[in-house]
Order: sequence, then structure tokens, then C-alpha cells
Amino acid sequence: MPGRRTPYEIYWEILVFCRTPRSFTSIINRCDLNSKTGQEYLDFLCGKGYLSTVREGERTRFQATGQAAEYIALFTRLYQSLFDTIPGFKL
Amino acid sequence: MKEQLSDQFADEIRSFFILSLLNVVFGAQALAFGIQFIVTAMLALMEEGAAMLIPGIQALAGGVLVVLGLRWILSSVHILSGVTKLRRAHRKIEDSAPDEILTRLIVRMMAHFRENRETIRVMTLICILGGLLFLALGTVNLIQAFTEGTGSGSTSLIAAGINLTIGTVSILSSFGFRTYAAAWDLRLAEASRSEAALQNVLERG
Repeated sequence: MPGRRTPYEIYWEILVFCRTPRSFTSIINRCDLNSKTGQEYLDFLCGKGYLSTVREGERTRFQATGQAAEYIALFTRLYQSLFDTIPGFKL
Repeated sequence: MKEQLSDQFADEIRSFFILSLLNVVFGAQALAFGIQFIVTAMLALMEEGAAMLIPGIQALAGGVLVVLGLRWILSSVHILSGVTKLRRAHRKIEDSAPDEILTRLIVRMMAHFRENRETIRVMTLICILGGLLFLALGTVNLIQAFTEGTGSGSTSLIAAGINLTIGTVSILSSFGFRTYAAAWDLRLAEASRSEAALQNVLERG
């Protein structure tokens, strides 16, 4: 996703994408992050218990935990409400 | 609710797409006029014994129009390409699509606005400047139409009509950009306020 995003938007994208187990490479590709910042975001989310690691043979995959649901729901509600509460733009 | 949100989103993207597209056309028009001014001035300067002042001013005005037109086109195309991508992504959404897909588009739209905030402000200014230039050109054409009489006067009258229309629409589109920026500035401010709630949830971990 191009453009400037806030960390909260990136956390949300990672958590939604990781509803099914995902590899590190697929996460940074999908969320348009470089390896260094991608690692930092994943470390934060794993540290807070929003992501867990799943070992599949030699590969490690990341999966959103049950705790992530609260954050995803709150984020979705807050962002969708931006269109409800603020008058839109129309020609 | 989701359908209503999706419709509103589609309306906003469509409006912004039309606004950006109109500005590409106006930018091209300004560029064409600028080139025409320069060529006419050069031809006048090449005539023996011709006065330098009027063609000089005309060439300078042409140069200003060329620079303005180029800046106008480049800014509009930059914004237009982002809006086109968002429009395409929105068209792919099906009614049964999960909430997250629409939210993802909102995030993309916000990222697009954050990235192009300065360009949109410049566009607002360029639209006003370009609009005023076209209005001035139209007024000159109108004066020419009344002083030249029936022959070339009708050509000047048509040129006046075109220039005055472009000038008016251009100034109106600057208001469009301002309204768009105001709506998204409010959304960004609201999103920033929401960050505290998101931070709280994240910190609870």
C-alpha cells in the first residue's frame, strides 16, 4: 500500500493479514514494509501478545491471536465512523 | 450501513477523479496558450522595425503560462494516478466483501491524502492563478471582439467564451480542492484523536 500510514494503520493491516498464518516475507510484501521496520512491527505485536509464531517445519509463520480481534474491531469501527460523522466531499 | 459507506466512498472518489481530470485538461490548455503566445511573439519580433515591448510582454506571459501549465499538468497527473488506483480497487469490492476490505480502502485513501496534502494545497493555488489568467485572457478577447467588429471579432468572441468558461470552472475547482482538503483534514484530525483509544487497547496487550 503506497503513501504515508500511521503505525496504528500498519498494526491493523498486519493483524488482519495474519488471521491465517503468514510468513515474514509475505507480511512485508503485502503491508509494503522494509525488513527492518517490518521486524520492529512484528516484534512489538508478538511482545504484546497480538501475534503468535507457528512453526511449520523449518519455517516460522505469524498468526493473529484472539486478543487481536478487539484491536481490529475498534480500528474498523473508528475508521468507518470517519465517513459517518464528517460531511463528505461531492461535486 | 456498509452499502451506504461504500456509496459515499464511491461518490467521493468519483468527484475527486473528475476534479483531477478537469485540471489535467486545463493544464494542457494553459500550456497550449503559452506556446501559442511565445510563437506569436517570436514572429512579431522577427518583423523588421517592429516594436519590442508588446511582443516581449506577450512572450513573457507565454513563458508564465507554459510554466504554470506544466506545473498544473504534473500535479494533476500525480493526484489522478493515485485516485485511479483507489477507484479501481473500489470497483473490485463486492457487496458481500468483509468490512476489512472497505476499511483498507479508507486507510489507503487517508495515506493518499497525507502524501498529497501539499500538492493539493499547491493545486488550489494553481487553479486560482490559472483561473484568473484565463479570465484575464477572456476579458482581453471580449474587448478585442467589440473593437474589431464583425470579421475577426466573432473569432475573438468564441475565444472569450472558451477562456471565460475555463477561468470560471478553474476557480470553482479550486473551491472543490479546498472542500476536499477540508473534509480530509477533519478526518485526519479525528483519526489522530482516535489514536489514544487504539494506543490504550494496544498497551493492554
